[in-house]
Amino acid sequence: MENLTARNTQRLAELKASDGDQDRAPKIWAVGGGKGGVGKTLLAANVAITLARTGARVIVLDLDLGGANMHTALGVDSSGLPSFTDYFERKIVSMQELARPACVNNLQIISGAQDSISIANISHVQKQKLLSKIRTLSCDYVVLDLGAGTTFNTLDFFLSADVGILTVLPESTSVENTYRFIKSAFYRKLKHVERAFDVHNMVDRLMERKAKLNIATPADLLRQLEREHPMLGSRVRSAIQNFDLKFVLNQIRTQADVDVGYGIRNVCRKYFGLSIDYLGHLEYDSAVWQSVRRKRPLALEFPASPIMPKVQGIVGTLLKEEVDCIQQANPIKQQGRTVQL
Amino acid sequence: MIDMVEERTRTYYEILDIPMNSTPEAIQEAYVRAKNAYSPTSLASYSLFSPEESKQIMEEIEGAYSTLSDAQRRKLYDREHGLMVIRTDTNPRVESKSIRIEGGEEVAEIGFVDERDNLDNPNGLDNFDELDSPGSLGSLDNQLLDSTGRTGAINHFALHGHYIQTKKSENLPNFKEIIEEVEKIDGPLLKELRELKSITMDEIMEFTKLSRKHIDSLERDDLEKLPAPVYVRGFVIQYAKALRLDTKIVATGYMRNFQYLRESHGM
Ligand SMILES: Nc1ncnc2c1ncn2[C@@H]1O[C@H](COP(=O)(O)OP(=O)(O)OP(=O)(O)O)[C@@H](O)[C@H]1O
Ligand SMILES: [Mg+2]
Repeated sequence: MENLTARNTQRLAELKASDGDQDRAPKIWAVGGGKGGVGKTLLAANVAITLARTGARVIVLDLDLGGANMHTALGVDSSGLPSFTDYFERKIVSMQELARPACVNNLQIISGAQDSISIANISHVQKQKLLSKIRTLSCDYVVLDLGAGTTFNTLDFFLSADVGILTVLPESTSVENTYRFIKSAFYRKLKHVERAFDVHNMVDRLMERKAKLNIATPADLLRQLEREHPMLGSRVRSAIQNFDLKFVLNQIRTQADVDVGYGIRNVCRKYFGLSIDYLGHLEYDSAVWQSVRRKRPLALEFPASPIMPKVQGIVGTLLKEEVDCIQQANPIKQQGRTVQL
Repeated sequence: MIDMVEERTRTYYEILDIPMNSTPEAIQEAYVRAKNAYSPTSLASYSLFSPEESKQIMEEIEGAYSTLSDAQRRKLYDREHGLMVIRTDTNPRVESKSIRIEGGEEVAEIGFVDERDNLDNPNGLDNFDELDSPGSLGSLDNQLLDSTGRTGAINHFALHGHYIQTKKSENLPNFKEIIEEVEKIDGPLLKELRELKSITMDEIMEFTKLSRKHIDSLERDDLEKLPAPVYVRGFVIQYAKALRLDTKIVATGYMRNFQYLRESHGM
């Protein structure tokens, strides 16, 4: 695992150096998922630490406004941290100034701890400001920790990422919430493209006839959209195809739990017509809550936890995919993806 | 994240969620996973598919598996769907290429290790085997290989079938009758049949790709050591195939006895 990460880190560094573009926009990895308390923060924090340890410059953005606790997961004292509100009210001029050093080298946090506003209640303008400025942060990776729920704002941040990772538990409520999240993200994405295309309510109008058209799943909807509006349909398809959706199964106790992940992958393909990657699983480990209680990151407090090699594997896989992607795209330069709203 | 292939009918490979170059083991594994995914108690599917829909999907899965788990039928299927395998060496473990042909054009190329063709010899069938006609399959393969110009591949074509064929003697009992008539099909019976056919432990391990431990516990009905029933079923199918027995009868019979044993042990 460690080797996978190290090998790809080095390869990435070479590729980027040969590219000559040192000021490229950071890659955004978002961690989300419909349900509360499923391990989003655990995963985001330890992925960020692992990534920073490869030498990459990482900023963790705590976007769980209203329930921000990433600072605790990274062992950062919240007193004196700047807030998003300061930034919105222009007391702080650049987003970069919101970043504060966290527990390891190369790692910084932009925390929502001092904000009383909830993520659902930030305005459209404020959201746009954040979305566009995230790409200007001076670092290699931005890791987004999103709150629970499927409000438009949360979905929009999730969809703006290069890689979207859902955390799922092998239990019915969590799996149901995950599907709800994917469904919401799917329709949200349709809306984004519609708007960018300056058409309105086409999807809604299709959905009104859904019984007649035999639309039972999102996959059916997309097919019908392509049939009736080929231009829009193909735009939607490529937009959705470009989005890299993945999931991690957390709190695994048995092999049957691990297998639930393969089930989810198969079902998503069938129902949504989506290929969603099963990135890996994390064991249930009581060291997690002990580290939470000590307000210290798992990676530092319990490096021998069985979860850590899994996190390294996940980071290694993501880096490898980035390497493959750059190599495939060469010599055409990689562009940071921007979300169109 | 949308699956491009979604528009046309899903291939058997897509139904099982596996790449076209999957090994028999991987197919077996994917089959078990897919069945688990749509079983009535599955966490992964109940909230999106009704029981009726799941049942229908299960049937698709069975259909996909019954073809892909059978080397000959899989080959036919691949051919009918323009999926074919070109060998680059007679050694089955050496890289080969899989090329999907659509309208005569190569649309995709993947390097992989192919080991499916060495699985079965159509000429080694016992009289009761329900497989397709061996003669036509033999010529099909020749055709396939001829068209690629790599006839050397014929050599390893029947790597595994051979022992079953060569060890067949005139005085063998009628196995079809045995498995249809016996009161119960259990591990010791399977072992007896295997020994009657002079198939050694090593040979059956190689054929089924199961470990010694698993074969051993299968033959002893060792409830403690065997995995969950759905896996056991897969093992038995592989086992029956190695013995050229009717997989359906054997699997159903063995599983009935296995479930009975489990229940009577309070498992
Ligand atoms: N793998 C695990 N093993 C043991 N406990 C875990 C594991 N993952 C999460 N937990 C427990 O679940 C709690 C919630 O985890 P975490 O805060 O990461 O979830 P979250 O999805 O970010 O929650 P929220 O929706 O509130 O932001 C942790 O405090 C920990 O006690
Ligand atoms: Mg959280």
